[in-house]
Amino acid sequence: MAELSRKGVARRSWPESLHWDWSRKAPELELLATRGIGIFCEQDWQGAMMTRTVVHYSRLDDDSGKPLVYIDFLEAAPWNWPIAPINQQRRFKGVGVMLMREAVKQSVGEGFHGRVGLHALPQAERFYREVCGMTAFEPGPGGGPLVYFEFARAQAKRFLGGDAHEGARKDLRGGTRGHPRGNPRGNPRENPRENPRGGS
Amino acid sequence: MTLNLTAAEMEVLEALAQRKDLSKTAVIRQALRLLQLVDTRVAQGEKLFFEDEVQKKKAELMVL
Repeated sequence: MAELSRKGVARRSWPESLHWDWSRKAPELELLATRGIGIFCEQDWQGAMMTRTVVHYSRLDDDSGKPLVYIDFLEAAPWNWPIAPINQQRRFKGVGVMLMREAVKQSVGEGFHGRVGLHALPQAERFYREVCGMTAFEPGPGGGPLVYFEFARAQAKRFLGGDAHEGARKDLRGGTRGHPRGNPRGNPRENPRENPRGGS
Repeated sequence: MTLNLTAAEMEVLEALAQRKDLSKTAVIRQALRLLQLVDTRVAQGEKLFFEDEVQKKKAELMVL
């Protein structure tokens, strides 16, 4: 944040999740309905996600009213954000895909058949639409400003078995831009106790 | 663990499992999670409401 400010980058170009404070979300993990998953690799948290399994239901016609895994927060660590204005290249690519994959696996394990839903920040819409292949619901009157995305069963199955998953695995094993050493293995952990802060 | 339910309770459980496309175990898990969530939020001083926007009705659910 300091570097963005120092280099005069306009606020609208800052990563939208910069203000998230994961330490404030930690108490939620005491609930049975909430689950935290983090990716720990090379002595650092590379990304984290918080999901909920109650009071969120499918909006898709085929599964309308049936429960799903709702992603409350999903964030790659700040050092994995490519930020052009300050020439920052990410250490690892594919963190978001790996976390999404865990969410779909959780949904399958819960008996929700891969149904996953979330509201996306505008900067992340392209990821959920094009990389994940989720169905988008534009904000309606009286609703919030964010686009809602949902995985239908078939989309989730395709995502788990598809190229997105393979791409992520290669990136986290074989090194990425700015991180040529290789050998980092993505290691999803449940309810990480350390503080994988996404914001500052 | 054995869960003892009355015939009426089992009927409701089976109907919910069918409607939500879940196993009976998953329905019980959902119920427990929801009860814990509501109980925790109410204990923190929050309130739970049911609202009917069409009929303009709003009722607070009292949780014991």
